[in-house]
Amino acid sequence: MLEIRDLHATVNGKAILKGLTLTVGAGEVHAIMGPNGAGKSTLAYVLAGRDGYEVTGGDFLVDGRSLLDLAPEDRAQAGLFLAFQYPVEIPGVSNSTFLREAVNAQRRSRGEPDLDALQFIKLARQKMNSLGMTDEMLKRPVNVGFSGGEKKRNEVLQLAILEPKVAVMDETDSGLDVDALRTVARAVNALRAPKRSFLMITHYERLLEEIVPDRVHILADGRIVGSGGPELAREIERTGYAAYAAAAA
Amino acid sequence: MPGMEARGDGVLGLSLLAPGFGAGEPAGSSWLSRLKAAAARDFAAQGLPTRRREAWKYTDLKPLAEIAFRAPVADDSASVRTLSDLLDLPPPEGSRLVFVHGRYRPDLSFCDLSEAGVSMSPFNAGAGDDKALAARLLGRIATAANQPLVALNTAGMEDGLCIHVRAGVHLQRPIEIVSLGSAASEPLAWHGRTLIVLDDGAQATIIEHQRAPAEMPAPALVNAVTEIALGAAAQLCHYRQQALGTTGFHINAVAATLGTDAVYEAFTLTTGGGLVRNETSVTLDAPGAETRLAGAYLVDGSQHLDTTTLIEHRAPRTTCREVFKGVVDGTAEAVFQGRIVVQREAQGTNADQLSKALLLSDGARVNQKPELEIYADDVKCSHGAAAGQIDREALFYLRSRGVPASVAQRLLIEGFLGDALSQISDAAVREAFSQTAFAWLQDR
Repeated sequence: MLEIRDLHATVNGKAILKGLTLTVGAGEVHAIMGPNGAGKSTLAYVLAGRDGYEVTGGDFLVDGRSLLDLAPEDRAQAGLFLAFQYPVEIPGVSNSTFLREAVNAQRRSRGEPDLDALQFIKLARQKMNSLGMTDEMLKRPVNVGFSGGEKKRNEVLQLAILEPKVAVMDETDSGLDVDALRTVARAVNALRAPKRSFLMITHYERLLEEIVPDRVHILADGRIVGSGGPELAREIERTGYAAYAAAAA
Repeated sequence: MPGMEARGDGVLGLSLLAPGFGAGEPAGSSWLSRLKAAAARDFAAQGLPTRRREAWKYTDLKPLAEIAFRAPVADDSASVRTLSDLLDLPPPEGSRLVFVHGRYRPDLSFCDLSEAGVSMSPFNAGAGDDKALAARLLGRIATAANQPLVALNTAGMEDGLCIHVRAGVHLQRPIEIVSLGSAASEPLAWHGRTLIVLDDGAQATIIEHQRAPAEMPAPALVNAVTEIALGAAAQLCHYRQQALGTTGFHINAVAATLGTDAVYEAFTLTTGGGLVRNETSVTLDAPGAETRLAGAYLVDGSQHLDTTTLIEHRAPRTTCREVFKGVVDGTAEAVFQGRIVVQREAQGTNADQLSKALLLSDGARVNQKPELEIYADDVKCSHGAAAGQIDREALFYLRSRGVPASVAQRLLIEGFLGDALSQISDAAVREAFSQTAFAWLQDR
């Protein structure tokens, strides 16, 4: 499970997260909603350990272990996964090479033997089936020339293969049409598990119609300013963030 | 750094013409000795190029003039004891011709005589028609005039090698040429010379390995020239792997002339050499001729790698495609000079040039100079030259999946080089060259 304690972070010296506290229990799906500029993507990058995002206070833990001082790869190996809002294109590196390196890096960190090419393909195929992905997407360079929907499916495929304890989904709905959104949501729902926690970061409520969260939190000005059940998302859809933004100010 | 100006007499590097370099020696054949003597005069008049010459603007040969090179002694077996290590190559599929210090070594070579229609011989020892071929073409494709290093090579060359594939013959197995240097205690200079002739419709693959120990007690100068003549519809794939010690100077000039619909594909992989100049000039002399030049280089320390290409389109519907990619680390320096000339009669030309360098350190440098000179109006030409660093976004993306930073970096560099390596149409060579490049990355 994921525990975020009074997290403060700055980007280019500017305070963005200002005391964020949140706990996502094992097997739970929580959503964070908030207006533009509230710090949603900053939270995602701070958790994943991106350069340029400086934590100035607080802590966060996965499964009771603080990941704050770890390199991004060590955080991933500790069970954290970030599904990117804008998955990065990597020309020249095939999707299968990338995925196999990733899965084997994580296996090595657990003291497990590498998957060979055949074992990997078998695993990837099995996971891709449920996502409506073709073998051809394994041969193509990572995300290069992928449509918006293909990129997001590729993120979910990585999630399915790497089987993290905590998955942070940053704006998974952005750039998806209704059908693609359903496909991705179905796949995420299938990955819900008693030992896996999800943190869905989203601007709109429509994703939460498909992936129904246990809890919804409103993020404004770097803090959680309201929490509730799934109905909170629908309320936001009707009334907007204005009231929360005002409360945070 | 000392001044760039030449010595008082204005001619650099005359010591390279000292006796023992073949200049003025009786060469046993009047046409060859005349050619060598004329080239010696050419070099004496020109001297080593200085950076005031546009073609040598970014590569300084002045250090060469300060070293007292001598010609290798024939059969210097004591200094070639390490050869077996350097010959650590898989068994040859076809012929493997081994040269040590520019001299042919039959004892180390294997000549596959099972394929008909091909001959491999020194310039003076070939059958009658090969001798005539050498006499007719040598020095005509790579000319000594205005090319001092070609002049020096011509003056100093030994037996040379002529490969001749007869009309319509498709060689099934590649011909390997292995050029070895050794850990000699004195500075040695040698001048390998190769003439490759494919008659009409012939096809061949030639793979060159240029090797010397990584640690050399004394600097070596390897000044090689390869002349290539392709007949109508002939196809040559020419792959080179250079792994010379970092105290070596390696000047390599390839000049090719192509007949109607001929195809010249070349790829050069460079990891070794202190100062390396790979110069390729291709003349697309007849309609439909096509050349694909590509290369990858991986340099670090204080290595200097200069890739210079000149493509001249002199006939209609000719095509060139160039893809060069390089990785520069430490305080190494890379140079790319790519000149494409489209003459007035070369209508319907397609020319495409790309050169990209990845700088892995603050001290790494690259100089790029693409040049298009177009006199025809119906042409499609593009060129792109770029230098950059590892994409930080991509690096973070890979690391966020649990891939360690060093592995992530290697993957990204492999991906970067992949564009160039994928130009190699021979699958086995592509695989072997990729392995060499990736091993370099593993070892850094």
